[in-house]
Amino acid sequence: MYTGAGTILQRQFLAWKPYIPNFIFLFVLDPFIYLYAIAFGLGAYLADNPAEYSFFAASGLVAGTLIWVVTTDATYLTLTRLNTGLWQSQLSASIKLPAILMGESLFGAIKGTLAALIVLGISLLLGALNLHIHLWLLVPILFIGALTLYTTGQFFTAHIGSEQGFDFLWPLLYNPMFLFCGVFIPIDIFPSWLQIISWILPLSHIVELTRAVCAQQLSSHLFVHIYALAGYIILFHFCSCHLYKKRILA
Amino acid sequence: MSIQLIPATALFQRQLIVWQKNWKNFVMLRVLEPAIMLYAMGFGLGLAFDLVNGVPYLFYVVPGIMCSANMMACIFDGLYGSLTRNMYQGLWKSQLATSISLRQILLMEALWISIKGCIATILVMLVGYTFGGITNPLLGIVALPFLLIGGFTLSSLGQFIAARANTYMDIDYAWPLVITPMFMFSGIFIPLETFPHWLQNLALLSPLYYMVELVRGTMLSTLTLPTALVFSTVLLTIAFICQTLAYNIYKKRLFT
Repeated sequence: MYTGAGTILQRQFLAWKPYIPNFIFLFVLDPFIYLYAIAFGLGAYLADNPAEYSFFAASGLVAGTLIWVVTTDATYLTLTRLNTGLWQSQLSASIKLPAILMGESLFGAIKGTLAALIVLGISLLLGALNLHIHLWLLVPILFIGALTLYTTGQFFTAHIGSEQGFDFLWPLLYNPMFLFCGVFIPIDIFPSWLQIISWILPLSHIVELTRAVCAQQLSSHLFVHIYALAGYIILFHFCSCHLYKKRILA
Repeated sequence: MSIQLIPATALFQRQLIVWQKNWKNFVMLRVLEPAIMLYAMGFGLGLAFDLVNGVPYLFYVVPGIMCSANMMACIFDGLYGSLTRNMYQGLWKSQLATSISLRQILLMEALWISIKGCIATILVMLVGYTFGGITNPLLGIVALPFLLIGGFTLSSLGQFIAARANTYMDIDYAWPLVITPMFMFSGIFIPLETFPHWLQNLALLSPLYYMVELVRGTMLSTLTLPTALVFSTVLLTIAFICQTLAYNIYKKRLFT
């Protein structure tokens, strides 16, 4: 069922190659600006401890960056590939739909992890985070996180007919994720009904894991978040397979 | 002159007809999104903050988010909208085949975008009012001219940047160079005094900074007449420069 996923991954890489300079430019310079402004500018205004806040915001923004990288790919570009008939051509080349979805999401997750690692590097340079041996754990964590966000994006895109439909996704899903999942505003500040929503959204688990690794507070409780993310990946991947199959056959 | 205005109003009417179809998307994206941001910033961060220059953070941030809503609506449409209409749809070429001139297209589009931006801003202000972040919503009407001028400047800036682009990917470069710095360092939700002096001076280049100062001054009733006049003039000057540059670039691209 998944044979050919590697080919799809390779195709995605080839299609991305001309845009590598854009990617580097966007994900080196842009995080530099918002990290500096939020982690240090905003932190200076927080009453008790600016250094603590810059750690909080920087570790959150490493995970929060995934949203920008992964979702544009999983939403707008997925729809473009579907509507331009690329998937149909791939399907006629005896690659099955699950393989297409998986190949694309694996590549999207690699791209997302790269961008988040760049942000991590910048945070280390700015001194908001400290370098330590456990930071390598972020590679698998960010990868799983990016994969979760990508499959989530694929799932919602399956319901959307034209690009205008995404206008509803930003204020209803992605913007709340960025603001209410503890990226740079602590979750426990909000009322309890909102906190429940925060914990339903996948980003809060990614942020929690990233922050724990950055702070070197590793414990077995963290596996709960990994299980949650894995659950989302499986759920959304199989739902997407089903939905796109119906859509393409219709 | 009066005869020349007629094709320009036709342009306006065209935009209005298009908008009748997608105003719901506009409200979702340009009003709901800032409204959520207002809630998160005003309440979430407001709890953690002390006073900013003697003003509670919620009162400080509501005019800022109003301006950011205006900025997002205007610069997005100026950038992506004009690129779509010109490069992807070829609409401008068809319009130029009639008696409409390039200058009219640029002007009327920027004006239309800024009116839409004002609608978004006023709706965001009403949300801010229900949150208790504004003392007198009528002051929003006083701030309207500033929002209109600011929106016009930002849409012109968007048109100028888009004039050099061929694809959406080219606009990626505008994010780290123009949009993100403007958003972060114009005093929308982080007070500018927090940053070093060279950065504060750099903010003087950002049109958004002037709009934020004008609108916040109006909403908190601290704006003085000389400041209002000087800042509005600066905004109009930037708008004039951007319009002229955009016109010249497009003229070269479309007619040669």
